[in-house]
Amino acid sequence: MAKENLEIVKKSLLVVFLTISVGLIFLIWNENLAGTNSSNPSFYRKSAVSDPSFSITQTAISENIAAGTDVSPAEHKNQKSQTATVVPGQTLTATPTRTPAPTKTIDPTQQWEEDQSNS
Amino acid sequence: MDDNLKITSELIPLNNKKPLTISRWIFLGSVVLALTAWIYGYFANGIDALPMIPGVIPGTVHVEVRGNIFVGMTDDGKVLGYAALGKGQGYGGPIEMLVGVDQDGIISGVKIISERETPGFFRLVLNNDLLGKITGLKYTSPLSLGQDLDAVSGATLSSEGVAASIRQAIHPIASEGFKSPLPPENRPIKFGIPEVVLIGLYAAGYFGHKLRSSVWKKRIRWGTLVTGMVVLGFIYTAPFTIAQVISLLSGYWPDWHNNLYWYLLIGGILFVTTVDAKNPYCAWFCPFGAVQECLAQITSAKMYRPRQWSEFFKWLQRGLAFTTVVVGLALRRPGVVGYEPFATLFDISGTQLQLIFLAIILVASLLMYRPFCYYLCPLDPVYDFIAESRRWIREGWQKWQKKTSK
Repeated sequence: MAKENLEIVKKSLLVVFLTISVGLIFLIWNENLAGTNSSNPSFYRKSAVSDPSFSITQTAISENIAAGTDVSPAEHKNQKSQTATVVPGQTLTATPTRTPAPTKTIDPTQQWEEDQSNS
Repeated sequence: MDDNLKITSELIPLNNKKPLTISRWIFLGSVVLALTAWIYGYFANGIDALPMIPGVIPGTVHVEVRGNIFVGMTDDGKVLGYAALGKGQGYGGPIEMLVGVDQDGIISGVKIISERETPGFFRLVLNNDLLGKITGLKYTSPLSLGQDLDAVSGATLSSEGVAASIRQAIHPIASEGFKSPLPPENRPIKFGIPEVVLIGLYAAGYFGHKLRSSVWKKRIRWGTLVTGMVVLGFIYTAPFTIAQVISLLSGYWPDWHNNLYWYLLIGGILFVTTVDAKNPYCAWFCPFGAVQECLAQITSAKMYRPRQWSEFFKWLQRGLAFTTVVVGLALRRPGVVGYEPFATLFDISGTQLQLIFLAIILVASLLMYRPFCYYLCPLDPVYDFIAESRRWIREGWQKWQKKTSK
């Protein structure tokens, strides 16, 4: 009888130990995973200026420009200049690639008149 | 040899009598799930570093990408400094950092892009102001622990990871920004006391378990256990962890020059377990196992595992290990998912929850033999997995040989 009681106590203690341990493991996971949303900690000198107009430009040929040895990128080398015949009264809408699409519509007649007056 | 030792040192196959039953389907399913988690983790990671440039080169308005570096400029095109990304191996995986250097060659800012360390320990690095100490140094400085930087106690590997990533980032800045390349980094092979002790422990464990004399076997085993506990545990805090397994699977293999110990530890365990089907680490020199055994000696505690619940406990342990591996692979953050209280004990540092967990295990160790090893350690199922794979391959090979001989 005493042996049976001892066994019950042992089993109960084991269950309590495992329940608490597994619960703690889940809490540790939760604690660690909550800390993963780090805000990229950093350190920089106090002279740092936060400029709201900050912009990024990627210019792969800039080194050549700086060195004065600028050459056109390979993708442009074989391109020929494009010409367009504009008939007075016709509306030409330009949609260049790789730059933001313009929203302005050019009236060639008006443009021709402006050019004439400027010359 | 006592019964306890016998059970820890011999690998127990998943199911001896029914080779192609539920356990093997679970085995296959777990491999598929782990693979899915790996693929998810591979594609779900990545961060855009460009918007962070003004944080490391103060005053930057425009950023120009020039080869491997970023050039920080003012609005009118004046160059303020250069920045680059670097990667170094920490405890849980690579630590990626963005480093900015101003026109005077002074490190103007550093930023952590990504890291996979255990938050509690990585916090030590941040609280110790390691990043602040790096800022203000010349880019030509050694930027090495033990020279111009100090390792943060309790987070040595993370500190080394931070320093290594800074050094890596500085090289393109020097060569492409300042046009004065730095000499290649001298990487001597780090081979010292822990490596020597580890090799010795493997040898003692391997030959020790083959000894016939149980008296000598017991003596040698206690010798290796205490050595493992003191050297690999309390002095160097370098036990085998599930985070290392996840790092291995994630492909976060550290530079072997500085981390020969990592390769010896993991390679040795995999090699002996695969070739000999014996697990030398747990029974012979696991530092945390040794601590539990020492406590069990005080009260003469015996192993306790009710037979009728044995299967349930086995699968509970496997479930914990599997969850750890899958979440670790999916998030690619090995250091976050590990729950072993090894570092909490040997470094005497950790969060409140980790300390409570450790205290409970230590108290339980006074009442039963190695409670953590038998019920909770995620590494035991890893050995089971290797043993099962080995057995399966062996069976397949034998069948194939029988067929071909006919």
